[in-house]
Amino acid sequence: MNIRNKFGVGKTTGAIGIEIEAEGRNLFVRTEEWDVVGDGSLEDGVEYVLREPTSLKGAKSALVSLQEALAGRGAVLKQSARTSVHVHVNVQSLSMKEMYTFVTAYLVLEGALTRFCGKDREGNLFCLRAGDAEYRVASLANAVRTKDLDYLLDDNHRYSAINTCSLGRFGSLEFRAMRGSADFNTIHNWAAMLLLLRNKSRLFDSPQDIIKGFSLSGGGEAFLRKLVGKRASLLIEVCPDLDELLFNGMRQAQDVAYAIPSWENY
Amino acid sequence: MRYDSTAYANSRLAGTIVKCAGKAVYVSECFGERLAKIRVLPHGNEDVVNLDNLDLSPIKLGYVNIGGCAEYLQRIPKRRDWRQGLRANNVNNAGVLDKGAAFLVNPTYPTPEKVVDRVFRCGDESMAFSRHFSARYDGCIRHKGRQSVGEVCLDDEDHASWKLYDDFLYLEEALKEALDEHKK
Repeated sequence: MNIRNKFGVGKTTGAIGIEIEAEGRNLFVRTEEWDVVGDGSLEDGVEYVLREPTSLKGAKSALVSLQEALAGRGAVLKQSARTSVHVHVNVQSLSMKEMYTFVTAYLVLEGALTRFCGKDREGNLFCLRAGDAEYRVASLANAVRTKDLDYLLDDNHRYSAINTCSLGRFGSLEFRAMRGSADFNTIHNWAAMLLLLRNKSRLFDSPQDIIKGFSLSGGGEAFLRKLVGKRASLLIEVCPDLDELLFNGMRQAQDVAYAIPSWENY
Repeated sequence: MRYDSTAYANSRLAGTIVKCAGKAVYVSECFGERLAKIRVLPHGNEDVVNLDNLDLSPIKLGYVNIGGCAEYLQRIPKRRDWRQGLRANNVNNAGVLDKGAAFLVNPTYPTPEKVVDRVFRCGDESMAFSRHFSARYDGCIRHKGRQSVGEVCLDDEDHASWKLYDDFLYLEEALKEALDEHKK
């Protein structure tokens, strides 16, 4: 049974959903692709929400059109600790095992991915990594062990960098780590990496296969390239401690991957 | 991490525990020109410091030995909390938060030999020898506070052997590191 049926959500074909929080001036623009909504947690801020999930190519075009609309209005986006970008990755067609394999792959890479999202995002309360809030990992392991979906939908996990509550609303995993940014190319690269991670993780048989793959990869860089392709260089550039980050991520991910002895009949 | 206003900093930090100068501190309030009133944990003095001197990176949590028991402390990524620091509302074990945070900023664990002595011979309920591993009076090895992952047994000469159950052999490397840590 796939995620869509498991969680009883409506069918969505687009791969990516994006929400961009912004603070600054002259921000109120609407385009064909984007809705704009107020956000009480921001100071003079708004949130741009992609009206419909789209392909990666569609996301690129939507980001360009938003950038042009903002420039046309003379908008000024400022750096702020309050803003962030949330990317939803559609996992409706994945089986539960494939979804956990994706999550395991993400957890191994989480330290490096979060570094890419911005120094201030590491340990940030709105997108806590597995190592910052281990309750999240324990809960994922319980979800695997018991098959009780409440562990995934519990609102207590919403402020982790990977939010599983959205499985129940959209059949997506929400990634919350990216900083608020006026650099829409970075946002596109972030979405592309997450989508690649989803797709490449399907080449592994199970979450345990991810851990074994990491152990056999002969170093963090090779494993990274296997999962995010040429965009690995974006992570390598900002992570001089890449091997350590990935090793620590692997240790967190192990608790999910080995929550059950075997995934054969999961 | 740097907050652009004292009011915003106060909304994220007041009533929580963060780090300052290598110690865990409780932030009572942020006020004035980027100032914070703090108290060093667990029983230190009050002080006033510049907001920029607070270290807002997460305190790495794990086991803390308190009152003859190994208690595991972990953060919950709660939505309706909105605080950067630790507080009773966003951890799993609020009763040990103050002492635990103070200890875990710079933890020193007893050796595995000492742990065996305390739980098998001195009547302690349990004791941790690393951030992620502890032993219990009945010989259970516990990992991250939530399950028995193996057994510690004493042979005729009172030497301890640490053995993981088959389902937890993936922890072998981590356990070995934790046991060997004290030999360095």
